[in-house]
Amino acid sequence: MMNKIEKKILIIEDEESILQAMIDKFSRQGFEVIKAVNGQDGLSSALTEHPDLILLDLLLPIMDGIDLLKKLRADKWGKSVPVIVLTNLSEARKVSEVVDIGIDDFLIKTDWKLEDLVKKVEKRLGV
Amino acid sequence: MQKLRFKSVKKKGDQITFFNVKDEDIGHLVWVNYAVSTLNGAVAAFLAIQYHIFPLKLIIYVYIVAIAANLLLHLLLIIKAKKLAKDFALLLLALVNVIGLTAIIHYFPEARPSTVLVYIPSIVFSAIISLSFGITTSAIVVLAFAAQVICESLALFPYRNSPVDVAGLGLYWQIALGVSFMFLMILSFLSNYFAEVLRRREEQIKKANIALKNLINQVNKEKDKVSQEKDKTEAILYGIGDGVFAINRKGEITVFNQVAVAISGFSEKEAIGTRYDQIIKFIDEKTGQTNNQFIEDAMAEGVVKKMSNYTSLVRKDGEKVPISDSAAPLKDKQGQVIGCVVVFSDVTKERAIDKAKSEFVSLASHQLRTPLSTTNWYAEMMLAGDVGKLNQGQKKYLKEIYRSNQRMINLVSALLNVSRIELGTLAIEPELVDLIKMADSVLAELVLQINKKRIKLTKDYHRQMPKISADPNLMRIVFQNLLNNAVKYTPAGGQVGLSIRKEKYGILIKVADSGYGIPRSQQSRIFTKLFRADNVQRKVPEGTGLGLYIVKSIIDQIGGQIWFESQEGKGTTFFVVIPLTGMKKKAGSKKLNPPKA
Repeated sequence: MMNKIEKKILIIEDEESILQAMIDKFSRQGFEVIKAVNGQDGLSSALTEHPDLILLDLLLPIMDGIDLLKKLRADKWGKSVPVIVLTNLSEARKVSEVVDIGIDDFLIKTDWKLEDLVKKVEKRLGV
Repeated sequence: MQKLRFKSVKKKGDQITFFNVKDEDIGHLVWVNYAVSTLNGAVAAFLAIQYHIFPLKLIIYVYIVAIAANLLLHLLLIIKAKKLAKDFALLLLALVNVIGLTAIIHYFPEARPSTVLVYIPSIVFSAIISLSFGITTSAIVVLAFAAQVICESLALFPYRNSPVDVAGLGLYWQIALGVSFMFLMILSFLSNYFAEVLRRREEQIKKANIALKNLINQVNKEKDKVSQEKDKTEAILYGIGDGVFAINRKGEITVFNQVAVAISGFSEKEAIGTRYDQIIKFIDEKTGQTNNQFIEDAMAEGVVKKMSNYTSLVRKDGEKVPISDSAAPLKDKQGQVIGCVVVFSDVTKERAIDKAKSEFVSLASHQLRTPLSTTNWYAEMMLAGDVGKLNQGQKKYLKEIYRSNQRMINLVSALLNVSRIELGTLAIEPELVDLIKMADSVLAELVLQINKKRIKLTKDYHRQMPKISADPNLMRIVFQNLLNNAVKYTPAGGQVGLSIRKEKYGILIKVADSGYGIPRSQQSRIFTKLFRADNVQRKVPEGTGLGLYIVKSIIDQIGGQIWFESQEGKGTTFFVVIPLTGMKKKAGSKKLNPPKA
């Protein structure tokens, strides 16, 4: 089980219980997981830790997901890091906004099993 | 003394005077003449034989002809020939008499005096006949006969010893009588003729007068009726709580009620006679473009048209009022469209309430999703054995929790979709879609349930199905709901069929099942929000009552059609037509969430 240790993912999510569920699942699947509970911490973690993939919520305290994404994409490293938006917001305006900035996927939390989410991340990272 | 034979008729307001000879008067004269002629004939015959006067035959023939003519003409009168024909007949009668008598005198100069012998009694006889018929001769006729008798008697007195001479003189009087008859007849003919002409003309005038009066009456009646109708219509129009205006074929406003005045800000005076599109501007709330198409469509197609959702009316002062509206064509008796009635109402309040409601649902749904995701994921991990193996009982209970949570997730998704559809924030983002591929992928999601219920699935796809321009998200929702329902509401061992075919009018999607069916009494409500038919509520407790409402809303928005055939206990077939032109892009702020099977 613990054979994918080389991949590091950053989960930015303010909802404790959801964050914990994801941390548990991804850790069990062998990922190295780092977390952030607000946009600002999330951005700095991303820029210092350079994770292989970021799971990003949109509704976040201090700095929201869209601002974070904009700043991330402005960074030399952050320009190309895979980002999967994972949220319960499904307004088309928001979707097209983040899609325009550049994301790899836009997933609605309730619509996805954790197992499938892991598969999606694995596929994206080629593991 | 019943009647005057020759009446001098003077009409009121009419300067012309005529002798008015009546039919029956002429008839009596004929009787008299008939009798006289008969006696004449008898006398002539008697004389001719007595004195051996020749040519006897000719005399007799002439009289026979005269009498026969008299008889015939009299018969004609009896059978009531036409009036003018009768007059003509009498004229002829007199003529025949004259000819007959002239012939006698010409051929028997010596028989003239003796004719009178029987002529006097003949006159008397005539008078008796006339009287015995209860007829009073007119003064003229009586006088004429009396004068004749006196004159004849006086004239014949010197010849009283010579019967032949007396008879001859009588013949001259006979001629005089004949001529006077002729004269009378001509007079009567002419007077009758003119009287008839006058009468007819008068009748025509009278008839015309009556007709005119009737016409005026009728017009007045109609006028009353129309004004009553108008009053009634106006009362209805003014009493109605909606704005109403009517236009004629040229698009000019003919009716504009108080509510229309209140909503539009234009007075009735300003509106009447004006082309409607000069003052009434319905606009699309989103694009701000004028949207009077539904009125033109109603006039062109002759059917009632509703305006599209989210239409506003631009008031005279430029303010926009959200309204709901429909246009109904006005037709004449032949079914020709002669105008259009447009009914609209101010829905500002309803719109605000709707918006608040939908925004609440939208917000609440977002908030609900967070704890739902949590429950979902933790239950999933426990069921997967991530935190240790569960025993059978634990697994069973957890599965219940997981399933209930899934139901809640679906319900929230459906509610969100409904609020989006109703809020008008639904976005349509078409791209080229392979409907068959999409249908197959939806069926793949259902394969577990299909297998579990041993449902026989049949697919009938058009071979060369073109890709059509459609919003994949919306199309997927349509397939998911219809197929999900078909599987859900079909008992184990049943059948579900899916057919996708390209037809002239569009892509026809058919989803048929051999399921529980929709009770007839509830069929009209099947597309309404939160409605579930009784029979399936009992059999399949899960269900939001939103699926078909969402499907119908989507199909309506993309300009397609949806309908169904269903028999309770036999099954249901849903038909969906997607226009070949595909969906048109519509900017919106929200997308629909496909429910997870």
